[in-house]
Amino acid sequence: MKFRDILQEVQSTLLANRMRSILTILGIVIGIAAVITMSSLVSGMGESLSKGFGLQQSKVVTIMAGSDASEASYEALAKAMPQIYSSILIVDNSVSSSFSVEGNSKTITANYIIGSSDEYAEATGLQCSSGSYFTAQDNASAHKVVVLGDGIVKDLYGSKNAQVVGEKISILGDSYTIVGVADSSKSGGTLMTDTGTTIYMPFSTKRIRLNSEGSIIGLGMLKDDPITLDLDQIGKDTQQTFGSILGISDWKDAINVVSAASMVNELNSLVTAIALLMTTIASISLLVGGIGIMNMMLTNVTERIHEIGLRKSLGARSRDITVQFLFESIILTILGGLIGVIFGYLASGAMVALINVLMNGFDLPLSVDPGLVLIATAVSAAIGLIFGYYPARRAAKMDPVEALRYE
Amino acid sequence: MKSFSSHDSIHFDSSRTGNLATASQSVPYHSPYVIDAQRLTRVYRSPAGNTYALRGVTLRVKQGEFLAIMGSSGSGKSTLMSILGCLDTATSGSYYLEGEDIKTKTDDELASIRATRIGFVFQSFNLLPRISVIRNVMLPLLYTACPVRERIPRARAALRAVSIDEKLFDHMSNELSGGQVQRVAIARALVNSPALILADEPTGNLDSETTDQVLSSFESLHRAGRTIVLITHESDVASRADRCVYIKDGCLYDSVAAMHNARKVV
Repeated sequence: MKFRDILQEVQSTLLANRMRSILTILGIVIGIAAVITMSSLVSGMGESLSKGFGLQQSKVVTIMAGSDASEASYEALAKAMPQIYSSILIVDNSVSSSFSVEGNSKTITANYIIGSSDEYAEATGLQCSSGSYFTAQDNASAHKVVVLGDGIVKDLYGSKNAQVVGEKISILGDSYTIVGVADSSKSGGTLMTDTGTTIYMPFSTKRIRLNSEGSIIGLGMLKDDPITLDLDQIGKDTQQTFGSILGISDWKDAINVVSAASMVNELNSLVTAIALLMTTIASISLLVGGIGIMNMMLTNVTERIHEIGLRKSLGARSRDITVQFLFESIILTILGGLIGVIFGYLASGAMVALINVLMNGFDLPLSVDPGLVLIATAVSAAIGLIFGYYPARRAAKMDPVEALRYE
Repeated sequence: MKSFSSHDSIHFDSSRTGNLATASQSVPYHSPYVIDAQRLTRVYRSPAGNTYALRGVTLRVKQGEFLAIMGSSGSGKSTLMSILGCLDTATSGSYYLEGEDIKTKTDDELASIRATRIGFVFQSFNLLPRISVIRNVMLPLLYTACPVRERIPRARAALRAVSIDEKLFDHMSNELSGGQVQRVAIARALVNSPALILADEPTGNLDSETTDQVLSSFESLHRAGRTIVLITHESDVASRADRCVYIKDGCLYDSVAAMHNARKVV
C-alpha cells in the first residue's frame, strides 16, 4: 500500500465514526492541553519571580556581615579582592521600624528605605521613569533628597506617572526633596526589596538624618560574567577574606554571601522541578488517553474482523494490515495533540488573565514555548504508536478464513 | 446484459494490462491446468478431536474452464475453496496454481498470488459500506504495483464489464440493489485480471431474477476466456457451468451417481 492509500483509508474510517473518534482523542486533548498550560504557568511564574526580586542583575553579590561591617571594612574587602570585584557598594537597608511618610496631604507607612551610594542605580539596573538618581555630592553632603518607588508615588499622588520631581515629602518630621521616581517595571534593587514600594536616599543621609544604626550590606559588583565563574568558590573566598578583615573566626556562619546569579540558578532549578512535577501529573491524563486509544482500536479491530479477512483475501499482507491500523491510531493521536496544543495555548492565556485580575496588579507574563507544538506532536504520535501497536498486530495475525466467517 | 467479447475495449486482454496481468504470466507455465490439486487433505485438530474437512481431493481445472462444485453444507466445499484461493493450506497433498507449487510459498507470496492471480466473489458480497462503488472495485489494486493513474480506468472498465451504470460509480454500496452489489463484487474480482475467479455461493443471497443476471455475467466472462470455479448447493446454478463436480464429506466425485457409489474423482 502507498502512503496516500493509507491516509485515504484512515480518513474514511475516522469520518465513518466521527463521534467515537472525537471521544477517543479527548483524553489526548486534555492531557496535552494540561501539560502546556501547566508548563506555561510555571514558566511565567518563574519569570515573574526573577523580575520581581530584581534578580536580573546577576553580576551583584550581596555580602552581609551584621553589625561588624563598616564602610571601611567593605573598602578593605574591595581592595583585597580586586580580581573578583570591580567595586563594592555599601547599602543601608536596615529596617528598625516602619517610617511614616507624608506628602501631598497624605500619610502612608513606608517599610523600606534604602540608603545607598550614587552608583547603586547603575550597578543594579534601577531606572527612573522621571528625574534621576541622586549624585555623589548628595551622598557626600548627606543631602535630604529621595528617589521614590512608583508604588509610593501612586499611594501619595494618585498615579505612578504623577509629576513629582521637585515636590517635598516629610519623613519623621524632616522635609526631603523628590529627585526621581524609580520604575518598578524595569526592576532594579536587590534581593531584599520591591522597587515600587522602596524609598531610596543617600547612604550618609540615612545614617545621619534618620540616625540609622542598622547593619551595612555590601553589594559586590563582579568583574567577569558570572556564567564563567565558580560562584560557590567566590562566595567562600569572600567569606574567608572578609572574616579575616573583620577578625571573625566563625566567618562561615557570621558572614553571608549571596550571589544573584546563583539565586537565579536555584530559582530556575526550583521552577524546573515544579514544572517537571506538574507536567508529570498532567501526563497521567496522557497515559489514560493512551489506554483509551488502545481500547478503541481493539474495538475497531473486533468490528472489522470481516473487513480484515476481506483485505487479506484481496492480497493484503500482514504488514499492510498492521500499518493501516497503526496509522489510524497515530493519526488520531496526532490530531488530538494538535487540538490539545490549541486548547493549551488558549487556556494559558485565559489563566494568566484571570490570575492577573484576581491578584490585582500582579503581572504574570504569558510564557509559551513555540517548541511545545513539536514536542506535543511527537509525544502524541508516540502514544499512538505505543498504544496502537498491540491492536494492529492482533488484526494482522488474524486467520483470513476465520475472519471471513466471523459474523 | 452486455455481451462480452475478447475484442472488448476493456483491458482484460493480458497484452494490455501491463504489470498486473503479466505478473500472472511471469512464471514459466507449461501445464494446461490452472488448478492442479492432488490428494488434498485438510484436518482441523482440536482437543475435542480431529475434523477431516477434505479427504484426498484431486481436482484439475483447465484454462478457460467454467467449473461448478456442488455440495451441501458441511461437505467441505468452503474448505476446498479456501485452499484453492490460497487463504488456507492443505494438511497434505499438492496444489499447483498455473504450474507453481503453492505449498512452497511464503505468506507474503501467497498474498501476492491472491492479489494478482485470484479474484474472489463471496456469498455475502463483502463490499466495504463506507467507501464508494468505484473505490470498492479499486481495493485489490492497493495491494499490487498498479500505478495510481491506472487505478480508476481499470476499475471503470471492470464495472462496465459487468454492466454497472456509470451513474452508480460514486454511490455507496448500500444504495445499490442486491444484484448490482454482487456484480460490483464480480468487478472487484476482475480488476486485477486474475487467472482464476473463485465464487463461493455468489447467488446464495439473491432472488431468481438477480441470480440469472449474475450468472449471465459469469457466462460472459467465461466466453471471454476466464477460468471460473463456482461453488454452490443449487443444481440450477451448477447447470450453467461447463462441468460440475460433487463434494460430500470431504471427498470429490465427478457425478451424483459416483457420489452415491462413493467413488472418488480421478
